[in-house]
Amino acid sequence: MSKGKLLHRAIQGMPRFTIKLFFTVMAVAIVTGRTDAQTLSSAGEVIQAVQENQRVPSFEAVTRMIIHDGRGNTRTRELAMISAWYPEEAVEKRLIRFLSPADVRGTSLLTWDHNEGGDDMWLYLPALRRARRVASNEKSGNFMGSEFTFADMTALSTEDFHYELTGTSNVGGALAYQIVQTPRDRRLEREYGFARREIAISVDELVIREARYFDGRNRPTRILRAERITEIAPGHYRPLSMTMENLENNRLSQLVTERWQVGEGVPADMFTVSRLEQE
Amino acid sequence: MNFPTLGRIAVRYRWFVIVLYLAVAAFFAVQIPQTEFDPDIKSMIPPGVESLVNYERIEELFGGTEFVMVGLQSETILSENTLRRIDDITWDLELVDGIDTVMSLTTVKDIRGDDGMMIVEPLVPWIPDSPEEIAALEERIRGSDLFYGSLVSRDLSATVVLAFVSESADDELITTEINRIIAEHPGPERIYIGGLPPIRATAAEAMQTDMARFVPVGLLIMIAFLYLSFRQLRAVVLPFVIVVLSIMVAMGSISLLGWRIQLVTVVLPVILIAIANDYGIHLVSRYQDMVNVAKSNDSTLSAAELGSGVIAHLGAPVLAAGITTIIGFFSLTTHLILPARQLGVLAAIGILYALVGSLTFIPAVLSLLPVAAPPPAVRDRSPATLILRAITRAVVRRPRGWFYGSVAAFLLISSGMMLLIVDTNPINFFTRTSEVYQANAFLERSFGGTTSIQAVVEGDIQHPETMRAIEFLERELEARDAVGDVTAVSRVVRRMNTVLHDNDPAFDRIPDDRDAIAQYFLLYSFGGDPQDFEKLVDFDFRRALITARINDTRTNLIQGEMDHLAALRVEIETQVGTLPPEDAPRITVTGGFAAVLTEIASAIVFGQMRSLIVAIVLVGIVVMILFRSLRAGLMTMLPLALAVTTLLGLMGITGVELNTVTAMLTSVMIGVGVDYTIHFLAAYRRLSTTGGTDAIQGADAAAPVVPAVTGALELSGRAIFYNAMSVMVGFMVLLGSGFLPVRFFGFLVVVSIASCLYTALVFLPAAIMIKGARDEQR
Repeated sequence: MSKGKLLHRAIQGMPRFTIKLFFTVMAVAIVTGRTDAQTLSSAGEVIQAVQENQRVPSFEAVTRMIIHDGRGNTRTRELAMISAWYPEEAVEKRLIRFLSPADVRGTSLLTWDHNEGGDDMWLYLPALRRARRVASNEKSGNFMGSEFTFADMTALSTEDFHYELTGTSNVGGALAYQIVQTPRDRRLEREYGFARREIAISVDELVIREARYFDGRNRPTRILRAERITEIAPGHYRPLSMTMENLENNRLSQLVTERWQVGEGVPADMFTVSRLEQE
Repeated sequence: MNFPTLGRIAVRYRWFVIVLYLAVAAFFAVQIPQTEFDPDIKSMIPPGVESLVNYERIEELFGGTEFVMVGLQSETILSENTLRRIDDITWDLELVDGIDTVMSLTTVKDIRGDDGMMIVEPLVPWIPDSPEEIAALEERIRGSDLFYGSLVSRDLSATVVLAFVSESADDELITTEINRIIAEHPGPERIYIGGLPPIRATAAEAMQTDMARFVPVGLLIMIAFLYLSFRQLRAVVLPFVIVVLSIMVAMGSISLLGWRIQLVTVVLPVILIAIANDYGIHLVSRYQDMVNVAKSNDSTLSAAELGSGVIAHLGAPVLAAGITTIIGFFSLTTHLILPARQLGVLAAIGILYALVGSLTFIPAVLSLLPVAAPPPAVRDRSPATLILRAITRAVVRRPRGWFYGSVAAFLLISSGMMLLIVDTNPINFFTRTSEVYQANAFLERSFGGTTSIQAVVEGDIQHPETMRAIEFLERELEARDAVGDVTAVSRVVRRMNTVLHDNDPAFDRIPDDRDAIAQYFLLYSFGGDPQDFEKLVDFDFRRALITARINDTRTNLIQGEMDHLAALRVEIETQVGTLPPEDAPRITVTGGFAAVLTEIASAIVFGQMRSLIVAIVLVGIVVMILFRSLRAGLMTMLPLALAVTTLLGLMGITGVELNTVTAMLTSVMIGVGVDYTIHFLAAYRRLSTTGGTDAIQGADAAAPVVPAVTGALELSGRAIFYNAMSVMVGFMVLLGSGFLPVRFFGFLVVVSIASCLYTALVFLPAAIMIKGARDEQR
């Protein structure tokens, strides 16, 4: 039995008040953390705080992905997503399943997003009735044909990037840390598809509010904007609407969370290849 | 019109005439620097023409489909340094205005299978720097039909960077930028730049530089020749001042009319040089004759009398020649091609200005100059006079022989029209040994074509039935001799199906399940870029583009390929399937830049032929009215028609292709041919009605046919001969150009003028004599 499963069992076995207490403690910790956050003085601290903010025991959502091709055409896909954080393994596991359109319904993607080190990805195609591992070394690869890349969908990596806190600014009415993110070498630059990223992270919510991507020639290539920032669990914030604008080809993609719920953890066997093939 | 009065008025107000004439030309001349150049070949076609509509439709759906090819060649292109150079060039090309997307070894995505999973990743994720990495890359390239043979040559000694160009792109700018980028990234690899945009840019540039180099030399030779003929400075300078001023006015009109210079506008100065000096030369020739005659009669004429006298004598034929030429050029306004219409108007404006100047400015200037007789040699012993007399004697002796011999020769040469090649491929503007030609030949050999034709298939693209129709098209096109490489989404689907089935060749086919195809594309989108397929299939999977690179761009060949596509279109439509009509596969658009070029070509060439026929008929009618004689009209039309067919026949025999430029140049015929004929006919009529061999003095009785013909040849022949010879000698210089269209300019002008000269001095006199002999018999 994996550590993740153990944890899940452990949480499930707890009396309800224990869980409430757990959340209260966590909320206090985060509030305290936030008090600290306002005085966060290094980029490393901010990034760590952001990583921690993203981690909730489990999160389920139905998300609409809207892709505009820049010529007036729009494609909409509906995805069901479930994710859970397993602190022992330091991994966030995520399952995404296509609900529509009909011809891709049932297509599923399973990711194990390790805190450090490469990610694992498996894909299930109903047409082939078999799950396959997907290479994940291409971080700049577009996330399901949208303008988001896989890297945009995963946690910030401290291994591959250098971060620099350049100050604060006001983004969308909120005070935000200004952080410059640069890949550590040229190979990573290619892998992630940008040479520099200017990120604005709101001080109160520890959420990326806006990110501007630049290429090797310092030309802006993409802009990410986050909206509908919601407190999904005490002290945990998430944007429920994200827009990525590609400045090079005028394409625009939106990820809009329609229904969501924070859970108390998911059995780890939810995130296995055999489970993927059963569905 | 009362010409003696006109001459007198011009002389009386000579200063006013001179200043006004120069001032107007100066006004037009200052407009010239504001003229813009329009290199876009597509703007030649009026909107609504089918191939252009299709081209624009495809571009709207799939972006630019025309491309520039940058080929790199060395022993092996799979080396760290070469790949780095390719990458650098690719990156920089992406930044150029007018370049949409760049496809090269370092940008393409590879679809490969590994243990049952499909991996979509850049073919060259990073520049390999170890022999092992390079060997692995080589293996990947050899194993993928997506690149092997199309992006990389089969012997791995060459690769190509394809830069797709947007519709509004400027050929010249793009070519300059590409050359700059290549220079900024030097390397040992041989570089070949190909594709239509650089060919067009190079052609436009070569045309302009060669014209700028050769035309002035030609003009100088013309001036020298005329001076040797007339031995008097004023006889040379005056006609040339008229030519230069009329070119200024015509060129200055371009921006005043809100037009822009196009490729065929280059022909304008050539036409004006060949035609506009004509009137002036006749006037100064007559001026010399009058001075000589007065001298031999021991009488004197004042400068003013001479000035107005030449107009009294020649005003009528000069005006007739001018008006017919102007009307001839106006017939071009019915042309399908916009620049051809504009060329017609501009040439007409230039001729009009030359005509006005010849009738007013020349007599005004002549009246100011002290009377001076030309050296006596001019009249009697100059080679031109001697040749002319020999021709006259020969024609007078045997008019029938010359007439029927000429007809036989015309017919024989005209049969060469059967061999005439219509070809507007700009690559054929260059000699086989030129760099541009060699580069394109290499690129066509190695990568299957430098231009393309396309078909758009509509329907439910992800459905196997539609996908199989696309595959059918792909295979049909690939089997054609003229087609190099074919790109189609069906190839990608086969590839994905294969790699997802452990590279089992049995799965190198379109899957039978619609969902499978949809899911493959979704799977691809996990690793690929949404734009990877943008030239293959549209966003909604409702339309797919099949592109066939053409390795031979002869106009009739492309027409053949378009006809073949039309047949395939019918075949696909008549196939019975299970899909409802809106989802069933059908070809909705066929086209491509090659098709646009083909349409432009036929439009120019056939439009020009039609305009020529209209012009000849119009000219005939005008001459009939002016001379009040049906016969004069026919006599003008016949030599013109013969000269045109002879020219086309000679082009066929000598292998000069009928293309956009050479077709437009046949317009020279209208002007030159008609002028020579009119001058001869006018002199003949004058002599046969007023009589005598010397029309300058005037005589009492009407002359019989033979002396009238001899006299007319003597009288007008000299000017015709000098004029024709000077233009021919001048344009022969162009034969030295290495750029074929410029060489053809020379060839065409020389042949046109020679045949017009022949009809005016031999054919027409012979015909008149035969007719005259018949009349006398009655």
